[in-house]
Formats: sequence, structure tokens, C-alpha cells
Amino acid sequence: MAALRLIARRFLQLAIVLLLVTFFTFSLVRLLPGDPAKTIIPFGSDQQRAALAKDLGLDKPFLQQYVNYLGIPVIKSEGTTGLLQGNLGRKYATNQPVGELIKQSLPVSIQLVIYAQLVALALAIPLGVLTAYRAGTRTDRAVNTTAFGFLALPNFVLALLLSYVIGARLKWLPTAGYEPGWLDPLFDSARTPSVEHLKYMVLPVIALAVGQVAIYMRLLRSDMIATLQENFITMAKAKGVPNRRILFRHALRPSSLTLLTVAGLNVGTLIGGAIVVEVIFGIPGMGTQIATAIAAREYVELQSYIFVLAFIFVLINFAVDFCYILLDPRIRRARADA
Amino acid sequence: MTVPVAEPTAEPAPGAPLLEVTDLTTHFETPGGIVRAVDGVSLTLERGKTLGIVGESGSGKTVLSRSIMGLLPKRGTIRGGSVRFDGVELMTRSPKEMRDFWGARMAMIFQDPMTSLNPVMKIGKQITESIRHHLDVDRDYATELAVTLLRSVRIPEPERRLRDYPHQLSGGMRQRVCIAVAMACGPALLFADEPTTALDVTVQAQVLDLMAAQQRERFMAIVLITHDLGVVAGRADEIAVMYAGRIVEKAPTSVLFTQTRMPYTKALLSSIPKLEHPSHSRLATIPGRPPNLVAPPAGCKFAPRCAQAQPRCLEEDPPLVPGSAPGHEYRCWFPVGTPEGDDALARNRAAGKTAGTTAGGAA
Repeated sequence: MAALRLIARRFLQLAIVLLLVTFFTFSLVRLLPGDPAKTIIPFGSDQQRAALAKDLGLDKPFLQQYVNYLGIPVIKSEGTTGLLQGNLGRKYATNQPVGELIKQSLPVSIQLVIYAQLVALALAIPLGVLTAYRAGTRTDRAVNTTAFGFLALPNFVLALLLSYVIGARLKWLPTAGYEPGWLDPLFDSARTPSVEHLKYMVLPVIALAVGQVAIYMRLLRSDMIATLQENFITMAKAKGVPNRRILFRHALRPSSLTLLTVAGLNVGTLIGGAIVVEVIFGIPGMGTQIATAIAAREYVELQSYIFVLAFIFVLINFAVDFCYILLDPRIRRARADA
Repeated sequence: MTVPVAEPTAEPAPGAPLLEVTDLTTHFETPGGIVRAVDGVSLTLERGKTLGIVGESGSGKTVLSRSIMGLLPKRGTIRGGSVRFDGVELMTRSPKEMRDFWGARMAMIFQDPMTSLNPVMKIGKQITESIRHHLDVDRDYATELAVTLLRSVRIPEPERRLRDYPHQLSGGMRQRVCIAVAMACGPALLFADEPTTALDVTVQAQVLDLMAAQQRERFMAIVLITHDLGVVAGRADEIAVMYAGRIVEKAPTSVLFTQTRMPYTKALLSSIPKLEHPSHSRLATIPGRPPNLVAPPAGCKFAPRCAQAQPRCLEEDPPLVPGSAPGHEYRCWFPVGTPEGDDALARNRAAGKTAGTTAGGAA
């Protein structure tokens, strides 16, 4: 019962968050200078543009356009459908449904972000444990300095560097392009996964992940140092448990709550980074789509992209909340009582 | 079912005591200087016997027990002297080699059962962990053993408790679990570091009785560390009183209570409230605080707080000297219950001050 109530409350929160996100993106994209009608028919007459704007629903007042985009029954304009009807809108220039475009580009970005997150954590967790165990030693300082060096390197600089050195000069990996991976067929059955997929992903993933390693590592390190001072660690030691087991079985789990929280919130940073990295490596993901949509003043397309990403972001952070419960049994009861 | 016991790692020397600590020192390097937490402690303990170590907070009891076990972090710790366990020298062993002793042949129970169990690991796992590590048994057998252990520490429904997390148990229950964990591999020596301090008074006796029962059953030696002489009074065969990292008086329990020589021991004894005292009578306390262990006083470490301190006490460090009863040792120039001591106390009372208070004022 308690769990159901918790989930119900979560979904109410989700609805509120999405309402705010849609309103702000709606307002912000309209603050962009320029006008879609002008972008689509740059040399047309004013009458032609006015007709096009009317066609696209851009002649309506600001709030009415927002209501139409959401598709709120009763007050929306007659004959239109919006998000509530499951309509993500159409691209102005080509009249393609935005939903179709998302089907093509979303799995690409999801895979990129997942790989980047996994690589970052796979590096950060052992390094965090190591630097906590050896806190204050030369190893600790060397690892920290290196990680912070990479943190200071912006991902687009790293992306360009990797693309130039490993892609263009050494020709070990492709500099640009994409092949479908395991997730693409789930969104579009016409696509078949290819082993080549991973080859195209290596450099963008490195460019995205490297900066996160230092953040995750530092978080885990400081929590881990605190946990290693705990009595139950001395007790485990007094039981004769080997160090490796003490670190990974006794200390890691109670130390990973902050890391988990930040890893969830950091998906936002990764999505932002993915936009830049996708453009540099010519990957047809959400990032590339968003960049072109901004340039073309594709209001509806852009709104729907942001809407979908916000939706995913909020869901991930709900999942993080549920992961707390898995990591720490004491939260189980606290949450159920709340 | 019988409880398997970990194989001894070396042949015990015949006739040797189980634990023989000689001149053990444990110093910590800190930014403020070297802290002499344990400063030349010697003690022996026979199989099946109980040694009580008594002292106030900061007297070095906990460090002593962890130093004997070798549990202190290597960095910043300087240890000297010798620790022989079952005839084997432990001081020169690496932590890796010590792991064969920890949990298997010597175990420890900690002060606070609320924090000494891993909050995110099930009770069962925490018990079977050392069993699986030290004894060559499969998981089912280890689980069965864990149930037996929980039953032996009188935890109801042990099968169900195995799947519980520590936060689902009360403090007393958790300490029983800690005892079960410590007993898991049938150790020959148990360090109990203030095992009842964090518990309700009603539960304290139960936990102590439980430890005594386990001791009889397994012929195990116990080092019982406490700040409460009342706890060790009826339970220890021998008591060592610690002050400022040293043993200041050591004697068989009955001797310590009847022939107290060291003023510190006497002060500890008189700070125990007694039933025959009228209600609302003021508790006797020891004035002052234990000395700074970075720069301890030159003479007797207790002199600044001692009621019978004389000028000599501030200058010369009293050695451990044997008392009249066998096994009795103490450090004092003017021992309690001797003409010298009574005389010193009378002189201080007459003067209205001790050598310690005047020196303390100057310092």
C-alpha cells in the first residue's frame, strides 16, 4: 500500500515538473530572434508568410498556442491535437511527425549517454575506492590530480582532439557517422543492429565520460573515507575479512548513496554534453536534431525534444529514489512510514 | 551439532600462557606530537581466564586491546614490545598473516552494538562471512552454524533473524549478534571492549552472563575492558587498572578490592555508588582530567590528581612493585593502606593541599 501511494505521489510530481518544463521551453524558444515562416520561405511575400503562419497555428496568441501544444480539451483551438492526445507535433519545414524523428534519434542518444555513464562509473568506482583506501598517499594525490586535469578539459575540446588524433591522423576509428546498435531496433524495427555501432561510439563516449570520472570519484572517495572510519569496518577487520572484501562488500554500498544521487542528476549534464559531442562526431541523435531545430526556429519540434528529454530525466531520478531502497534497507522503513 | 574450531596456525609452546604481552608501547604520530597511548604494558592471560582492564576514558584501554590484536592502522602508529599469542609472536606479522588469527583464534566485541554491525548487510551474512572465510565449510553448513550460534546467544526465532537487518533488532539483541559473530569460529581469546556500556542496565547483566556462559563452554580467555569496576568485580579473575597508557595496579580480583594500594584504584572504587549510602548522597569523583599523553608529567602520571601526592611523586616515576599477595603489582611511592601512604594523606589534609595542586597551579 505504502509503495503504491509513493508511486502515485511520484507521478503527480512528474506531471507538475513536465507542466513547468513545457511552459518554460515554450516561452524560451519563442524568445529566440527570427521567425519560422521567414526561415521556411525566405524570399516569399508577407502575405505568403502570413498564410503559412496561420497554417502552422503561429498566428494565435501566445497562451492559446501553448494550450494547443498541450492539447488541453475544451480550451484548445478546434481541430487541433496536442501532447495530451499523444501528438508531438510536426516539423514545420517538412511536415514530418516529430514522433517519427524522435524514434530515429532518441535511441542513438540514449545509448551514447548510457555508455558514457557506465564508462565513467566503471572508472570512478575502483578509483574512488582506491583513493579512499590510500587517502593521503602519493597514489591518492596522483589519481586525483590526473582526474581533475581531465575535469578541466571541456568535452568539446576533448572531442575535437580525439577526432583529430585518433580519427583523422591515426585512422584507428571513424571520425564521424553512426551504425544502429542494440537499442535502435526497439524504436524502429526497420533498423538492424551492427557490430560497427561500437566502433562509432568509442570516441564520443570517451569525450563525454572522462569529465565525469573526477566528479564521481571524489564523491565516492569522501563518502568512503567516512565509512571506513565506522565501527562496523573495524569489526569486519576483526573477523578476518580480507581488505578487498571489506572495501567492496562492506564499505562500498553504504558509501554509494551520494554517488547514486549525483549520477542521476548528472544525466542532465550528459545530455547537454551529448548535444555538443553528437554534432562534432556527426551522430544522428537528439543532440544533432536539437541543434538543427534551434537553427531553423522549429518551435514545436524543439519543444517536443525538450519535453521528451525532461520526461526521461525525471523518470531516471525517480528510479534513483527507488535504488536508495535497494542500497540501504534502513530507508525502506523510513519511506514506508513517511 | 559441534562447532568446528579453526586450526591453530602454529604449534603452541607447552606450558606457555595463551597471551603474553611484554612492554607493549603504542604511540600515534599526530600534528600535535607523539601521543603515548600505551606506554609499556605487560600482562599475561591463561586459557579460560578473564582479565579485567579498568580505566577511565582516554586511559588507553581500547588502544591496548586493538594494539594487542594488531587492528590499528599501520600509518601513524608506532608499536614496540612483544605480543605472544599461544607461543607465537604477533608483533612481526603482517596484517595479511594476522587475518588467520582475527575472527578465527582471537575475536572482539565492540562497545556500541548500534554501529558495529554493517547496516546494509543481513545478520546471517555477517555471521556466516567469517565462518566461510576461516573454516572450510559450504554455505548450508555455515547457515546451520549461524542458527546454532544465534540460538546459543538466546535470540528467539534464529532462522528468521538471519534474514533481518541490524536496524530491525534492539540494542541488546544486536550485542548478542555481535557475540555470536565473535564466537563463530570458536576463538581462544575474546576481547570485549566495553561490551555493555551502550546497553540498558537490565540488559547489561544478561549480556555479561551470556559471555560467561560462552566462556565456560569453550574454555575461552576473555579480556574484559570497562570503565566500571562494578562490571568486572564478580567476573574477572584478575584486574589491571590503567591510567595514562600504563598499568598502575594489577592484582587478582579479591586482592585488588581488599588490599588496594594505588590511590587511583581507591578513587575509582570510591566513585562506585553503594546501596548502603543514604539516598541523594553526593557521588565521589576524581578531580581533574587524565594527563595530556603528548607531554605526560615527569613523575607519577596520577600525581596532579592524587589526594596523597608528595613532592617526590612529581619528580620520580614510580615503578611497578610487587605487593604482599602473589600477582599483586602497583605503582606508588606512598601506597594506600601503608604507614607511608596514611602519613602522606594526613600531611596533605593538614596542609589543605597536595603537592599536585601546587604544581598544577604553577603549570
